[in-house]
Amino acid sequence: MDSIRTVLLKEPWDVDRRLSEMALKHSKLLEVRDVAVNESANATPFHAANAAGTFSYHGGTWSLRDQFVGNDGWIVDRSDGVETIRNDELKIKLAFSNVDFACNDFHVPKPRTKKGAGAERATGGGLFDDLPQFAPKPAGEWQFYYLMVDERGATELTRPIVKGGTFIAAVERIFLSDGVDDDSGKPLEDTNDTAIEFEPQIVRK
Amino acid sequence: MFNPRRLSLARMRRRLTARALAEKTALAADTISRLEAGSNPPDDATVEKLAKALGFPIAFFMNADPEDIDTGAVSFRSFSKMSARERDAAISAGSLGLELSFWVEAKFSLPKPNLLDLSYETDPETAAISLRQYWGLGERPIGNMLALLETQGVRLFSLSEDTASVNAFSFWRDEKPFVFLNNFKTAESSIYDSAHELGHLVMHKHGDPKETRSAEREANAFASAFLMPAKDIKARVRRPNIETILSQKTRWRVSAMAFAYRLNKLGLLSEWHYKSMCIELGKRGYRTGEPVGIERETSIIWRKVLSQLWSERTTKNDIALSLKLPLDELEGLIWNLAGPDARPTARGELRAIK
Repeated sequence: MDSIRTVLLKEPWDVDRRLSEMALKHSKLLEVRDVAVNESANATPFHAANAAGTFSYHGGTWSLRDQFVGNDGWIVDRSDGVETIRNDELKIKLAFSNVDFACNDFHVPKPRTKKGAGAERATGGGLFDDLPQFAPKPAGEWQFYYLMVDERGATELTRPIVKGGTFIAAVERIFLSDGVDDDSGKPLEDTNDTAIEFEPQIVRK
Repeated sequence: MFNPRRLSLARMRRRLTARALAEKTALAADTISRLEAGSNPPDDATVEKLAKALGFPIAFFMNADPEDIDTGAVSFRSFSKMSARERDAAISAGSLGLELSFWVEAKFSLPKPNLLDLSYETDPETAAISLRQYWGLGERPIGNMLALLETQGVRLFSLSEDTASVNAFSFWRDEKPFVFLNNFKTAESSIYDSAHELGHLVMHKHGDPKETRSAEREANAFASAFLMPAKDIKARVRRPNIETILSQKTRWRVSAMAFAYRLNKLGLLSEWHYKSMCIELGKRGYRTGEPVGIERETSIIWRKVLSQLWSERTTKNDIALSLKLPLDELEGLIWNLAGPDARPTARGELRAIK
């Protein structure tokens, strides 16, 4: 069995160079993430228990297409029951997935719902063993990526191997955001924070 | 001597047509028109009938001419939705408000008006920043909007018109700014309305047609920028979602809808996202109300005036008597603005006996 070491891209210059090779844009991918995370926040206790994830998936899939389809050769693809965008020139497919935990060096994100046989075929997984930090060399000419978003908003663009309904390893992982937007950080806590109160004065004549 | 203009004023306050008043008083419709035109003075019995039907004291009709309010100079919100009768009733409340204001100012020194004339400013966002800087507010949120207006010399009255189509109106009179606020709406709406009127007062001080759509849009944009300064919002709001909108709106004391609108204008909420946010807020009841809202703001000046007068044993009844107004009209003008009634301490206690 051929196996290869997982390619891990974290530095902004590596990430942006790789994304431009793939005809993708960092800021647009983060907008997809925003839509997904915000959609999940529309779930209330009265919704079905899986509503947050479902809303996120639908929002994420819609936004992925809204951002990219029509530009740089991206088109909608739903072959084999897998909802993606596809780039025929680059031979790349990209889908959206909610995951348990993204952007952790020591953990391959796990999808929050089981992946089907279509996804397994598409990623070129199959008869390979689980090898952490190494991935079986995928078969086929298409590269299949997922935009993986966790509940905190941490996001990576990853080419996983799907086996038994889950991601067992990754060929390539591109870290996009640790959930707090990289350029801005957390809203600043300041001290001069309180609202101003007023007390108009009157004088008896 | 009977003042025909006071008859018109009282009739408009009661939202009656001349015909309806004629029916109530069993007088001829012609008679009412002639009385209002001042063609002939009424006899005592007629005055009594009119006073009774309108619920105004007879002395009211014997006073000097009421304060005129130039309807062209008044800025109304939702003007198009308003019927002529509603507009006349609101304007005549303004006239009575002026009389109350003169009465109070004869007894108390109130803060001097300290507004900017920003009528040359075409950008409401810039106007809001200028006024904030002038008042030293910087980018900080405003803890109590009504008190801020009063501190800067705006005279506040309430509009006890139980109709959604009259939100608020404002005008300048003798270099003093007046604002009349409808208090039947949510606390957040009242705050927004007061900022909207502030926008008219500073941006449209000399403009003639106040009811144009562009003037309304400018006043709305002013209110939005004044209550929610861009820099403060941008430094605090990250990736807004429904939960953060509902929890963060309290900082600026605005409605969830107004907050989402501002976030969209500032580019923090995309068009699509804003649209879906509006749908979700609507589902949760934020289009028609504010399910989780803030406490209503009250006027500090009115509370101080009333409690000072109470301590001198002057009651609202006494004020109404000296203004020759019915008590309900007086209460309408300060209703909900003065907060809970300040009562003088009772000398003895009343107890229920079995």
